[in-house]
Amino acid sequence: MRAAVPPINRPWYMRLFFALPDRMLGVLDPNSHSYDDLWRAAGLHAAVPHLESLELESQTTAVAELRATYALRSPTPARSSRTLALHELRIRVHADGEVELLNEACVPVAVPSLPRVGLLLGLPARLERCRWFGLGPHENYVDRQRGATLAVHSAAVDELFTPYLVPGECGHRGGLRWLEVSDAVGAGVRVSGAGGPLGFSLLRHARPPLPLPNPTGKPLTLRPLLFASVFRHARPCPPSLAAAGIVRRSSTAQRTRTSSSPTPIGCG
Amino acid sequence: MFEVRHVFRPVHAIFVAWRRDGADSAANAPANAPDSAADAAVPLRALVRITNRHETLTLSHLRLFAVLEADGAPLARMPPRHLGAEERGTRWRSLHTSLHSLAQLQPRESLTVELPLEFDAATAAAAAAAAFATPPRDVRLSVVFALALPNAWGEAGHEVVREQFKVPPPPPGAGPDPGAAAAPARLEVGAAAATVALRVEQSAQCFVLSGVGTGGVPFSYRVCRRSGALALRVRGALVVEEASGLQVWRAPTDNDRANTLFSISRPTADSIAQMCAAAHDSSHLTSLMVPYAAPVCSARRSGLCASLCSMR
Repeated sequence: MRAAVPPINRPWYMRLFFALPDRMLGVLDPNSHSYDDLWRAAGLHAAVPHLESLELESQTTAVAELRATYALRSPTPARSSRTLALHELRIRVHADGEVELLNEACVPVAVPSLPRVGLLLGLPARLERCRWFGLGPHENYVDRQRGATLAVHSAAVDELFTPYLVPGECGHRGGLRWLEVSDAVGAGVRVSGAGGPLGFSLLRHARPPLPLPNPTGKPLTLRPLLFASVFRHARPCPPSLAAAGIVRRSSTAQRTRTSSSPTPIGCG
Repeated sequence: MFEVRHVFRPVHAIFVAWRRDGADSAANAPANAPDSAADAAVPLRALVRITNRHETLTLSHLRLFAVLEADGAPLARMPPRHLGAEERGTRWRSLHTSLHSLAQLQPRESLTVELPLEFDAATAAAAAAAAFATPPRDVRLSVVFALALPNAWGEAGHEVVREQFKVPPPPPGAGPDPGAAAAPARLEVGAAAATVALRVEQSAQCFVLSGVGTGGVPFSYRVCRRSGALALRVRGALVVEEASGLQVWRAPTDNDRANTLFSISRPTADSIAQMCAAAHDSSHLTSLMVPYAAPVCSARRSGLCASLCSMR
């Protein structure tokens, strides 16, 4: 027979302390910097793409391929010489309307982590419905995917926004096989990964993405911006780039491909 | 709330294996489990181990259903069954006991049951045919527990637990005859032979690639020579605007702002001095390794170090 144990065997007293979470420890440390500090110091928050080159690589009656190279730099003149990222985009257009976007990026900014690396696609405001085969229905980042279900989900674009008390990054959904964004009559764009699952967020932003003063007084049309985490494979930056002195230390360099179809998605 | 519900789910389920009707299944069935004609009609059964994580309740207040999907398309399903209302000897038959025993599964106990999955000919024949004709890439079994009756905190049908498993494809022969229901011709992008050649026009301002896509839909894609911006038009309407390209930034969260790197990497004074010295010797400040912490950084002339130090 077990001995009786009193349910409360310690005296009650007032507590003024609790185990500090890491964010509290961070606030108490005056000599360290946050991820946000480092990202902004590196200029990632204001990187602007500059076209370096654009060439027609090949052309037949069935497919044509353009090769564009962009350099992401800070818009600040003092920092404008800094190359924050190199992006090579191959735009392969097929005669049936399919577009393949093959991406390769090198981010030579040596920070412990990057906020994100992916492809941003601006969509017109009339595309207000989306349907995706991936994890959902709620937002799911890598640490929140166990509770998500892999299925075909559908939602309005406005429903993909999570209204946190402090606005910040939100709405990402992983495990994406394909995504259709359509207007009221069902026409739109379909995005799918060619080599494996993607991740995406689809949120409405004013154009440009960061809110600016609106001198016209007219209500701004919030356009959905589709972010697709198309990069999956990390490897060192190409030796040619390193030899050119552009890259001394690379944090990530990835390659993948994404295809988007502009055909009416009702027939897909 | 979905992830919270998942973390605190009161029932755990684990997929064990597929089991087809046959000698194995019959041999493992309890002696008192009746073999009805309906049992024989169910071609596919999923062995699932269920654990009742309630502290005081059995599972009799729940109803259970399951769905099998192949690449997102429904393949087979088990209709919802109120566990508490089921009687011993119905179409349910578990490996070691009956549905009645599942309903009476005691708190903190586990049981392995067979879930009969029925192929719905009306809705899933095409998907099943396609799935069995070509091996599906992703087959998932979802097991869902919901409230059978309304209670003080939820309506009937309120989903309490949803478990999903990536499972191996069902054994051959379990599904309907692939030839019985031909899958509808899926109009794959890129699958249809293009009848109109792709046109590429070049000007001083842009490249324009145009043609007639699948289904006779005209498209026109424009790439600006000056900015490299990409604009896709279908039937004359924009579907992808020019604000496109590589993205390396997102809105920071409170974790990004308040979480310091102190616990991740704490460089020594020597290592920081070396990094700063290297920065001043180099003309490529873009590749400067950003100091994780700069409390002892004495070289503040470079732009990057100065910006970091001024952030205290």
